[in-house]
Amino acid sequence: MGKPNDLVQGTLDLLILKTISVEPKHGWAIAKRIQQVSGEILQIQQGSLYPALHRLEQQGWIKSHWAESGTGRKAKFYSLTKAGRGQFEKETANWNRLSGAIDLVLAQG
Amino acid sequence: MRWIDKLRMRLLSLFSRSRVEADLNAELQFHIEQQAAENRQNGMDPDSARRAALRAFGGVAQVEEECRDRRRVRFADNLVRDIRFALRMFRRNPVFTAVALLTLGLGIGANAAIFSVIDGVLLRPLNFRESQRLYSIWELVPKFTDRFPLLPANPRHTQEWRQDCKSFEGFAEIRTDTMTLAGLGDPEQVLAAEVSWNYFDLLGVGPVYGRGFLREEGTPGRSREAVVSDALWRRKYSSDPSLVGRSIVLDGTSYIVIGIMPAGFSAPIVGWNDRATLQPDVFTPLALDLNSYGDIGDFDFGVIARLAPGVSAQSALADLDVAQSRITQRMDEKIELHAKMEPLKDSIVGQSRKGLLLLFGAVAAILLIVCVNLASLLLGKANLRARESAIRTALGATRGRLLSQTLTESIMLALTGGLAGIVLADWGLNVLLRLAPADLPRLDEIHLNLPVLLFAMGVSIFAGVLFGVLPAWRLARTAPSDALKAGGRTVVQAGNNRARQALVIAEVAVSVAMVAVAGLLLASFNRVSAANQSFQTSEVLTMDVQLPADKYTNPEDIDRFYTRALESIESLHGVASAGFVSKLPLSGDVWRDAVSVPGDNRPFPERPMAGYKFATPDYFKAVGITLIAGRAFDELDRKIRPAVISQATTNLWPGENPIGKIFRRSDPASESLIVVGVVRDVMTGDVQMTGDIQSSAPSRSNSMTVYVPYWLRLRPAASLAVRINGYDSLSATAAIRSAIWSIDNQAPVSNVRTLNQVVAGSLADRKFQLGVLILFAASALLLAALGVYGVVAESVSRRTNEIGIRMALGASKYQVLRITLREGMTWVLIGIGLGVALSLAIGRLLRGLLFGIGAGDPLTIGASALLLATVAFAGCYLPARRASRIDPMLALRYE
Repeated sequence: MGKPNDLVQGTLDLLILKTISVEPKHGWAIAKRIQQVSGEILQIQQGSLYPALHRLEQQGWIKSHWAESGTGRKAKFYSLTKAGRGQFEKETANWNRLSGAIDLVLAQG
Repeated sequence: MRWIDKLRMRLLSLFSRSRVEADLNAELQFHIEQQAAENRQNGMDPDSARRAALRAFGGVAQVEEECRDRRRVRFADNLVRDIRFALRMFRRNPVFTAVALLTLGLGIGANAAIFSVIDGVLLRPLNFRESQRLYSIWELVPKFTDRFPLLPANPRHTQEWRQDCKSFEGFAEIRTDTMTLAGLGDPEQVLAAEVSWNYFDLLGVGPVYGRGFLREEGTPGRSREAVVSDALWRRKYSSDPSLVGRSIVLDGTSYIVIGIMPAGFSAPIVGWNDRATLQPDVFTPLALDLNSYGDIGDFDFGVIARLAPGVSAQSALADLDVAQSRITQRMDEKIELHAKMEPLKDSIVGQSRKGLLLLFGAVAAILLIVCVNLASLLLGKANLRARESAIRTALGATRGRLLSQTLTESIMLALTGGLAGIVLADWGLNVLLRLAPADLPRLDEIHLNLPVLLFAMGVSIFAGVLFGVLPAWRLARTAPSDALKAGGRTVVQAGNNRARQALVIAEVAVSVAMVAVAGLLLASFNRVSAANQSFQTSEVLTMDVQLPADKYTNPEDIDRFYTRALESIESLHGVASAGFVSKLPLSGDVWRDAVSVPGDNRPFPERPMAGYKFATPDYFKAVGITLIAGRAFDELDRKIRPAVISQATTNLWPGENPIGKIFRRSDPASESLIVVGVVRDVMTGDVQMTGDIQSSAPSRSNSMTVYVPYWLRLRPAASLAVRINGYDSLSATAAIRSAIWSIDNQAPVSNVRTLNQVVAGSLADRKFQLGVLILFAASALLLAALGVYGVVAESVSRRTNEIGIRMALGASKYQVLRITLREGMTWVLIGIGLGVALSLAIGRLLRGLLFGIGAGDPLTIGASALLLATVAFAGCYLPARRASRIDPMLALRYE
């Protein structure tokens, strides 16, 4: 559990889950959305995005279906499963606890 | 339900690979096109927009691979790749593959076949309702245990149990006897069983037609009912259901058939006549008048009991022992009584267990040797493949991958071999069942079924891992730099050779043990046969003669029949001598009684017991039982009550001349008998019974036999033995038959056999076991020789160069031969040493199956060791000779 990229990977999962929690989105839209909302700070690499999507799908937290995108082309849309919603809530709480703790430590400075 | 979704995803990823791949590709392409579209909107021209999008994305192939990884199908993917690779390897080594498949097929097939016998006979529960609650009950009388470790039950005791032992749902008694069946069709002898009225209910099996017995049919003096077996119904009454309600005649008494048992009903018989394969054809209700029995003696009835639900065997036994001690209390002379319970299945299959387990051990050993040989062959190949695996390692294959790839290869091989094995087992089982002695119980329950198939599959995988793991491990551990530095040459790995040598040692050791065990059994078999040569068996024809009981109620008529039949037979051309006897040698004895010499005042049950037989004067001459002292009785002895005794019986008068001594049977009213002659001991019982095989049945090893003249015991059934000069069994049989029928044309003559066949029949069980075992031992020997040959030959071909140098430096052919031989034989001899130790250990387990030979018989074990050494020497010599003929010039250029 002590691998250094655990945090990064876990964060990407959380961002993906959050982004599709409102409505189903395809990969391109997920990356765009995270970029926009974070004020262009978070740049999602395709090399990490798609493997993460496939892993989440394999874990049963998200599911996919093919549908027409806004441009009229077929795209693969991802949406949360019921288990995924639970996972999303758990991870959000986790994140809040963790960042709160880090804030506390920094505030003590 | 998440795991279901997961499973679906995995399966989808695994089995619709092309769809998933296409999906993935389309998804990524979509992304790139979106990016390109955005670039165009930002003012790029279409071409550079697309190029920029591709650049921004990075390696499509890498992302795809990464996604595949995330789907975790690598394992299955690799498996498929390994299997393809294995198939390629098989195609490239057709000879190796064929040899491996053949030996594996034989090994696994033999295991599956023997396992299906074990499954059918030993493992599967009996075909009765809740059969685990069925037990056979025996009486244990400490006073008699030296002669009868266990006894069947006394009917008064059984009655006591029935009334007082609440741990049991019920008890049923059984007693068997042969009877003459007449009525419809020709008269014939059948095995009849008298059973308690509740026998069928207790087992939970009922007739297919008609009904079973009723309670009132088990009381004395009732009209007679009978239930017949399916076999008899088919054979004699052409499967006619209307047999129910008709009457048949047994020993002159008329019985009404009330039921027909279903096919496949195998009646459990316990008690004196406990040969499970002797299946009664007729069942009649047992109706005993208990007042005519005492509390001691009359231990004549086999008892089967059913435990009440939820009662343990221990508490039931305690219950029985309480009842037993109550019986002791009411006796005048208090004789201690106990009881013993045995699961009914054990009583039925008990005798065959040890023999079957022995065969199972033997096939397992064969498979082990097959695996060792294959491991050794694969190790040899690993030497050659070291370079290949070194390259793979250099290219980044992990040790685990190499290991799993090589293991996949061996398991594939084993599974394919197992498939061939199942086909062979199916075929072999048919042969096995045809050859199996009729003695093996539950033969009809042996099939190649699901448990057997699962077993074969398990064994195959086990074998694959067993012979694959060592070579795979070696291959995976090859250091790539060494292997690659060796260039085109094969890599010599010291560890590899040590492993192969260890395998040779193991294989030789197991083979020695197999050969030694087969040798011990062969030696016992020969002793048993020799023990039977105490009478001469050639040119003697035997048959059973049965007089219609209703016609021969008068003893004088029986007497007259025997006398006149013998006269008529002896006048036939070529007949040297002829005699009647109640039971032929090796056919068991039915009449046991005390031999009580004057002055022996012990209670009768404690006096020595002998098997009594009645015989006509010329019987001894006809069968060839040698007279040791005195004379045989003859017709002139009718006034003096003579007896001829067997040699073992003379121990009653130690150090004295037995001729002229007198003794009595247990019946106080019987007149005494006078010994006129002594004959050699002859085995009376079945040979199998005389070995001390773990057996709950009373031992019948007592070979004390007393022959009384036929006129002292006139019975309507006897066996006839006729010694013929210029033997022609066909015409002789016909002539003897018509001679008998000239006296009485209603006397059935059956079971015509030569005396040789009688002897062979009693040995059939051992012979079968022995035949299979010798076959296995021979295969073990052959495989061991091949294994040794393989190792030495491979070592010679690897060292061609070295040998060439030695010879160039002046080593003689003889020296090369000696060095090579010494190398091979060292390991063989260590293996033989271990094998001797192993066979001593196994021999001790087998003691019960041996007869007249010690488990550690030095001659047998020494001979086995020598035999193996010789065969292994041949395996070493062939490659060693090739080594000595190496031409140094060619050898040096060899690389």
